[in-house]
Amino acid sequence: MIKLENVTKVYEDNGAVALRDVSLNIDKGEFVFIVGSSGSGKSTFIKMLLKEVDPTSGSIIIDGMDITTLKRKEIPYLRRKVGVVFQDFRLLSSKTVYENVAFAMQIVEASPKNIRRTVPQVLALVGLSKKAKAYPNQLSGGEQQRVALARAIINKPPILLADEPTGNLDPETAWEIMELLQDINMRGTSVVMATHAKDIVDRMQKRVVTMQKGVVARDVREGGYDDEA
Amino acid sequence: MKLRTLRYHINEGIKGIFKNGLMSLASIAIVSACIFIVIISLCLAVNIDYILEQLESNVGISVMFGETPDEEQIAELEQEIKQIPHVTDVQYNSKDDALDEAKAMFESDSLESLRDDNPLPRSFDIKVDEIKNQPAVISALEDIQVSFEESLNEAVTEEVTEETTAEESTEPVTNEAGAVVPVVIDEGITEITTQSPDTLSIGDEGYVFKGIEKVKHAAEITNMLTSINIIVRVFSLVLIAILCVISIGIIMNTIKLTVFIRKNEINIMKYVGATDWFIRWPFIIEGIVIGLVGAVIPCIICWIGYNGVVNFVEGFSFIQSIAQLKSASDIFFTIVPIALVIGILLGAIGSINSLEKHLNV
Ligand SMILES: Nc1ncnc2c1ncn2[C@@H]1O[C@H](COP(=O)(O)OP(=O)(O)O)[C@@H](O)[C@H]1O
Ligand SMILES: [Mg+2]
Repeated sequence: MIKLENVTKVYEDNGAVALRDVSLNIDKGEFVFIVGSSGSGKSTFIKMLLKEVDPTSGSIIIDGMDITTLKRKEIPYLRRKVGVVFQDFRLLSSKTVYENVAFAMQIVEASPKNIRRTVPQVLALVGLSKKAKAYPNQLSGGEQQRVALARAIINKPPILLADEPTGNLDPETAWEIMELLQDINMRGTSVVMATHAKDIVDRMQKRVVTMQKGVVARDVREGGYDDEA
Repeated sequence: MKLRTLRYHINEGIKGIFKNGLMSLASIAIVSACIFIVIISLCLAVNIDYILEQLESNVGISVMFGETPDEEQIAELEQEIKQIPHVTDVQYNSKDDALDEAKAMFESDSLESLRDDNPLPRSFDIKVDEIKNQPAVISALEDIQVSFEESLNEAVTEEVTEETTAEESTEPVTNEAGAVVPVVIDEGITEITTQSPDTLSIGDEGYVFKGIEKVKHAAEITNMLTSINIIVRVFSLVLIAILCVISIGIIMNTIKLTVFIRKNEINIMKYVGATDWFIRWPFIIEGIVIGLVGAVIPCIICWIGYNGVVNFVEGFSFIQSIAQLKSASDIFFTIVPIALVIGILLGAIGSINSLEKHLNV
């Protein structure tokens, strides 16, 4: 599903080496944590899968397609296959919960009928049916992240990326989001989550890829934050 | 693009205008001001052009006759002149007409004494359709002048030959009709120039035409009108071009600000997988609507204002007798589409230009 081969990323402006010769394979339906201290290259890893940044060398293959050679015009179609949520939710503040989610379907020119049918389903899945008409600033952090999740999965992408999705949430709310992510993963979506929340990683017992200064230091199947390979 | 997507874009574009209400108002005001000036300079240019055109048609050519041609020959010449391309009207003035005109011009009856022995020439006033065609008409008239003169001379020579043969005289016979040409100078004194048609031929310096004495035209006025015309056109074109550049710049800045405010939004749209065009359209529609509203407002104001000016000017009959303004419907039938197109272009170009930088996410 996702395959990195000898990927190195050097930010040209400051010469920072964010990733150094990273090779990694993520299968269809896997749940993978990317862990590591701040500055270890987690966000760069996520951005690379969205083609927000390009690797300096190496290749990235998603769903059988080498994305390093994608043309600018083709990027939107990659992003439709790769849903993403962030620590800061990134909702459109001028749109209601319903509109924020429907928006992702309007972009792919889904029919209004299809939109009217699917949006309530997904809102129900994330537990926000009652907040459809609310605006983002009327919601708690956890609720906002649920909206972001609903938006990320509504077009049924095979891959869901999450960059510190629980970073702004209290432990209890964070765990609710994790349950939702697990739920989404159970439905067949591969989930790649960057985090440094040790308790969550330990509790989930999923595959853990540990980054250290841009290098993959450990890669543990069903492990905790500090487990040795 | 599917119809529902177009509907979505229009919806978003119009929502965007209200969302950034103040900014949109500012942009509309700027577009309005620019198009307002464009319309005013167009109105001015079109009317100056139109007035010049009317004045031009009054700047005619005069053809003065000597004493020789009879009424019948003059009538023939009138037909011939009417055949010249671009000649729209030929008006005959008799000696009496010329005297009346002179009396009116000097506001004096003392000229009346000349009536019985009138030295003023008979003439044609010739009107030409456009001032730029005057030179061609004048040269055609000069050709007619020469060929008419030649026909007169031939007739005289034949006459002379006949007479000479009859009287078997070797003395040269002077021809009265051709030899005496009256020239009007100050204080009504008539100087008599004598001239022998045998010594000078047509084209020689000092040759005095007996038939068509002179083709007179106001070359200076003609040239002045032509250059005013050119200056007005160039000036208004330059003014309009400068204004368009300025307003595109201002709209670009305004939309750039809108885009900057919504940079976050654009970013989010890109993450969700929106294509560049999907992101552009609402902004373009926003720009177009702003441009359209900005064009319609000055159109309405100028139309009403122009009508007022036309009605005001119509109140002065002396102005009406010299030149008239184009009617409002006449002029705005062309100006409104131009203004709308300019508005749409300004809005669209402004928004497309200001977007590109922010689309690279
Ligand atoms: N846009 C950027 N320009 C320059 N350097 C960057 C940029 N983004 C990240 N970096 C550098 O790359 C390294 C990895 O950063 P990042 O991927 O954000 O790590 P993490 O998400 O694990 O905190 C850091 O040294 C950081 O300073
Ligand atoms: Mg990070």
